[in-house]
Amino acid sequence: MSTEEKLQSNDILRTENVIKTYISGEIEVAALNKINIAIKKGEFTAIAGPSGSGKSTLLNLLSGLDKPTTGIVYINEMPISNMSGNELSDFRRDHIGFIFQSYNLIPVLTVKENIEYIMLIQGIPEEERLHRVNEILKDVGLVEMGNRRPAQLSGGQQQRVAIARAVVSRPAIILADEPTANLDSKTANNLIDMMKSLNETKGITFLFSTHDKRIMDHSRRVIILKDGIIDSDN
Amino acid sequence: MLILKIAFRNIFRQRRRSAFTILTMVGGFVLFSLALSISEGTYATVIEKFTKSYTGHLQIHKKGYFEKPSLYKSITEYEILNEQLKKIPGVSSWTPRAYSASLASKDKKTAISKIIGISPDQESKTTSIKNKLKEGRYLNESLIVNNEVIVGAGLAETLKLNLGEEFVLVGQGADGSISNDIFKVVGILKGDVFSMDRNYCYMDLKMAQKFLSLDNGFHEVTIVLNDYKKSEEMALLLSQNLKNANITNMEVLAWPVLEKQFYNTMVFEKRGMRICLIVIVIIVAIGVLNTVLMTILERTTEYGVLRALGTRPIMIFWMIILESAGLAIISIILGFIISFTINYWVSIHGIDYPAPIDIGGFSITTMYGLIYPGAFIVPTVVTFFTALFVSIFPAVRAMRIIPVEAMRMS
Repeated sequence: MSTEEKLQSNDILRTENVIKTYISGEIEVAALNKINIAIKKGEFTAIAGPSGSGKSTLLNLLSGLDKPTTGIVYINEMPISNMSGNELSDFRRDHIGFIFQSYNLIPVLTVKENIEYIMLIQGIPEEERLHRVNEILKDVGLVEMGNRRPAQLSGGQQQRVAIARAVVSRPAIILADEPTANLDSKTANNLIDMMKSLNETKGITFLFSTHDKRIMDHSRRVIILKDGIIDSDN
Repeated sequence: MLILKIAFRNIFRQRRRSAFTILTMVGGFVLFSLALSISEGTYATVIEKFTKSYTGHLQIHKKGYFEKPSLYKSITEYEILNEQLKKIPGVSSWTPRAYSASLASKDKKTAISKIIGISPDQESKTTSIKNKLKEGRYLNESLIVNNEVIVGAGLAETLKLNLGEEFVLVGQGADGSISNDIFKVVGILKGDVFSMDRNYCYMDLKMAQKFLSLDNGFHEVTIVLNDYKKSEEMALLLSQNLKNANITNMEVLAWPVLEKQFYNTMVFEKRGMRICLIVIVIIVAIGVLNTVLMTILERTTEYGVLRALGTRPIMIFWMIILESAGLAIISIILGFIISFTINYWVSIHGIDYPAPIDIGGFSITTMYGLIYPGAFIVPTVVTFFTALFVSIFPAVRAMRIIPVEAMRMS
């Protein structure tokens, strides 16, 4: 299936000729060049490639954390590239879940409060929030850890909390930037299995930026970037 | 509620740094409060001593007497004034006085002296002259005119006057005559080089009226209030009451007008103290600013993550402002407890000056604190708003963080 064929109106995420250039000294460097991709609901997709290939840059553009030099990023058919300020903050809050390489939990909040955070700023009622938190804690196997602070958890446990935080607000897509990079092999495998399970049982859409062969092996689709362009998409 | 929770918990995250910031703010609060307490306390003491020693809080004269005193500008309506003053709550006591300049002499020595005719009983209820006697006794209230006088320390020194000795006063009568008489010293007042009553000569009002040919005239009614801070307000009220009673030839003046030099000195010194207070505020501000900037630098990645997760910039702003407000509130509570204890101690025991100092011609040896609301309210407001004000700049910086760049720092 070619990239062109995947561009359809029911895509959760799609890009149109996205270009990102940086100025390095007096030279303009193209980090991404005419990227056209589309992600459908329920996909478990990995963007892979060597260091400097543009994976993280692409993920930043897809999440609205950065703006393309030219081109448009659509999420749920909404062009996010032109949004600014509070509009973009609200859009990320309601439509995108993030999993970071270094977990990035809020250190002063407990596990439950970290998971609850996005729902709180979304204005979801307390009863509903607590119900969802308890459910997701079961899914990620951290029921007993709910009142602990991030510093009291292992790396793997922190990343589980990060996954729970990303999933619980029911975003359109979860963008995960090297989620297994800081974890040992066994923990990484467990987490990949858990994310795969969430994808299969709850239909949650995952898009990874990764070097990790294990994630690529579990992904139904792998987009390889090389020097800022799509080298392959299978 | 959520940002409040995060802000509050962040206070206890870097405990040593928060403790240092709180210490800076508490120190500033305590110094600020103590400075205000001592300033007000010292001036309250001086004002009370000053006014109760001689001037009173208010004075009633014939119009123009204060600007240009004259023997001829006397008033006679004491009974009417008496009735008016009785009607006003807040007036503690009052006493009539007559004044004139005279030449005092004993043997071959002469000195200029100010004659003050007083009503002994009323004067002792109104001012502290009775307590200022170094030796001898106070004047007796008597229906019979007598020639007993109390003299100031300076006059006694110049004329070498001792108790029971007599001297001559020569003055001018209101009828144009030259008046002279022999007076007997029954009391000598205490006094140092700063004392304003060094050359005064107190005698019974009836004697003064006879000596100065004033009939039943006098020059002043000196009034003491329950609260000296209401002097100007009471002066206006009394003026209005006199006007309503068709007494239009008199003026009521408050002590800041009567003792302009002293009052101006006090105001000037208070202004000088503001510089010290500004320095304290700057120290507090720098302490808080340093902490908040350090905090934001350390938490840049965290704020980037919060922004990435969809937190609006304004929430980041309030998170930082609330954290500073929390630090300020803790500091204010501690500062209040400490400064109340210190101010209370200073208000009871005072702090002795190494040597007496002169404020507006009045000598003071000890500075006392004053427990009053302003000594706590002003530092509270200043500490709180300084903490918030200096946090605005770092908070704005934090809310403008670009998530991608901030997270790259991790």
